[in-house]
Amino acid sequence: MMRRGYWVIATCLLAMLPAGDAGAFPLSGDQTVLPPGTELNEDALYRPTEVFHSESRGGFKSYMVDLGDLAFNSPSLLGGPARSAGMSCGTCHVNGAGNPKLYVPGMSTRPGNFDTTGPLFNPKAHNGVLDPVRIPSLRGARFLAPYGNDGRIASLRDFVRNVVVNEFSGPEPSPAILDALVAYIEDIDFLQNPSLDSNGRLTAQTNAAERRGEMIFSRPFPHDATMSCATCHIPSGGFVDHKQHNVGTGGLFKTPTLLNADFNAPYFHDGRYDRLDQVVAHFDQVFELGLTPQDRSDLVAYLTAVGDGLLPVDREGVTSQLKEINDFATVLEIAIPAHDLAVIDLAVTTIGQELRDLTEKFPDRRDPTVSGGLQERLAARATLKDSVIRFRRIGNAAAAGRFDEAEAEFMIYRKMSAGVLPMLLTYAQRWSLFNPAVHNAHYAALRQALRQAEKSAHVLAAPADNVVESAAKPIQTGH
Amino acid sequence: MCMTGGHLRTRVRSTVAVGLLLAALPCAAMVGLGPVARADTGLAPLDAPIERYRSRLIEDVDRSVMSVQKLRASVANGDLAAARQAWIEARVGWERSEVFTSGFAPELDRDIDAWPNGATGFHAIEAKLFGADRIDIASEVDALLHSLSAMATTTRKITLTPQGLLDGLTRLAYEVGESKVDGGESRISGTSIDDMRNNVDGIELAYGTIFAAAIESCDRNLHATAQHQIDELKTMLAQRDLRQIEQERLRVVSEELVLTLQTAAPEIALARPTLELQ
Repeated sequence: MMRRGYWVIATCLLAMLPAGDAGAFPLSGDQTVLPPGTELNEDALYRPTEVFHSESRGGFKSYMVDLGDLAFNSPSLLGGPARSAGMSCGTCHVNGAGNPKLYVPGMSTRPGNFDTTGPLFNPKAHNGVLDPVRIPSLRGARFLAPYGNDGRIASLRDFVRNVVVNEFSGPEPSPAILDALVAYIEDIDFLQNPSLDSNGRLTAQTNAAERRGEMIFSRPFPHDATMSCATCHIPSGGFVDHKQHNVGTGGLFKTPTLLNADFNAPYFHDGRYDRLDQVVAHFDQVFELGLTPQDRSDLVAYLTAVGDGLLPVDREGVTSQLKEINDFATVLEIAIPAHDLAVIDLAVTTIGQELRDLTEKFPDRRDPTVSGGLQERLAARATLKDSVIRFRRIGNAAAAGRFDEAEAEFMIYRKMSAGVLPMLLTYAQRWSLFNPAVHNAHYAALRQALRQAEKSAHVLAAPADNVVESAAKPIQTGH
Repeated sequence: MCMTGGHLRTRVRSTVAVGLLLAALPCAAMVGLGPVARADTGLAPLDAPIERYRSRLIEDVDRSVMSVQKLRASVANGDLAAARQAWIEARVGWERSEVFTSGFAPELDRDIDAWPNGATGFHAIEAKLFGADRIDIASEVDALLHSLSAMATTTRKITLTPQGLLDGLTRLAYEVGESKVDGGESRISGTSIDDMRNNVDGIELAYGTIFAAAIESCDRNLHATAQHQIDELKTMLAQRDLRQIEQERLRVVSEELVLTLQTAAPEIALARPTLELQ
């Protein structure tokens, strides 16, 4: 069946994701803003697929959506250490999904969770408790109000502002940027799931175990006949009820959607469980459901079918990277003629850094782990560096009020981005870090070198100390 | 006489590269710096500044060679602390001379400064010295000494062209703006910020020795801009460690210095510098 085919592909792709720290963003030494041992998974070869509602309906992303996407991936939206470390909303919510590998020592208790009220990113929000929460996927967020793991904020706009300003010390975003962020997040769709019909019921292509699981899902609980799994996870309503419940995890938490949940591990508000069978076991125990081993297995089969989705990940490469950058750049088509300096500056800053990051995907002469294709790599690097400088030129021209010059430079980039840029990068791709063999050799070498540094990093472990949670209040000044 | 800075900037704003080249020729001819002047007079007015730079470059590379010799002696004596200090000192001359390597001998990077995890070179030694507290690095030190000594010989013999030096200067200005949020290339020894400082010292040396007077004679404001940008880079890098550096601003200034040098190039009858030697 088609779905099975995609599932097999997806499973294979996920299996190819680097294991352990193979996809690490190696960060070490004693002079980094984030503590040594931080894993941002920025070098993953596969990234979550981003499905836009506007595009899936045959249209295109609006200026607002592109601007929101740009801001979402811009460190300058945030403040303090997050900004200094080059983090953006997209660091945690990769392509609007989650980041199950993200781990910040002192702020995470396991990969995939993170304490948003810890001392590192905004001491003013520090609550003295290590209480990390799972990094949620934002797919389908427009259907999932209220927001926050305990549903404390009714509006997505208010929620986004709180994350930017209070959790990550960002400057107050302009109303236009907040609107754009909301437009972007609300355009991110769930992945399509052929196992479900429009009412959230299993389709005919599902198997017997999955259908038995569906029955169990709607079966009244033995000790409360008014309740079933489907009471809160309403199949026709995106598998949520927009309410908070105590399911034995230490308080009231909002009902999470089950759609695309196969790709959203770890589970529960704090990410305590890695697998759906652990989730089923938890509910079986807490609500004394009396499930047989067969029931549990069927329920997991059903949840897996509900949580499925087509093409959950994309292979990283020249095409996907350039598409993202060019989508960001489209905002300049409106911002330059409108003389919108704030948006021009945001675009120039963010795109310039994206292009610099892309340059490093094409190793230069110094990298002994790559052989061959030197001329191709150098040509790719040269054109990317030229593009970085071109965006700086655009920003400078606009800042000086020379919008015609900014427009002319942008047009040159547009022509390059449709011709010579993708051509040179594609020529060089096989010798780049987009090639799994090159990628693995490069990072294996880097890890090997840095492993030797672990000893000295431990000796110089002071930077981690200041992010360890403590009940002590931050030192107050100004009184 | 040279074109005034105001006149030139007007041209820069309103024209593209061809216009810039055309605008540059009168200035270059008047001050006798470029190929037109050389053809007319038989003089190469940048020769003297370049030779002054060469002598400073040779000093830097020789100092690096001497530090590696000291490193070798420390290794032979089993003195880890002295070896580490010698390694740090050897980096100074190497990083200051990157204007030269970027413009003329980028292949040296692979032998001397391979990253990550080369079998030889500074970082192979760094990993053992600083990461593993190991001093069994005699063969790596010998290889580094050999490569640096060869470089020292090259710096004495090679023809240093103004274009190659401006290219190297501009490439290094771009490189200074690269993100170091992962700890930088010398993260094991914790000296990435020293590398950056030494890079900027190398930029200042090359700019001040070779190009400053020539550019100033054509466009005082352009020279002042370049000097101000170099000074700002130095100020930003005067911080205690990488965490205090405002990376975003560092990138901006680095790229603006690239733009300034690219704008200045045609004024002294040179081609716009490229950012990668292919």
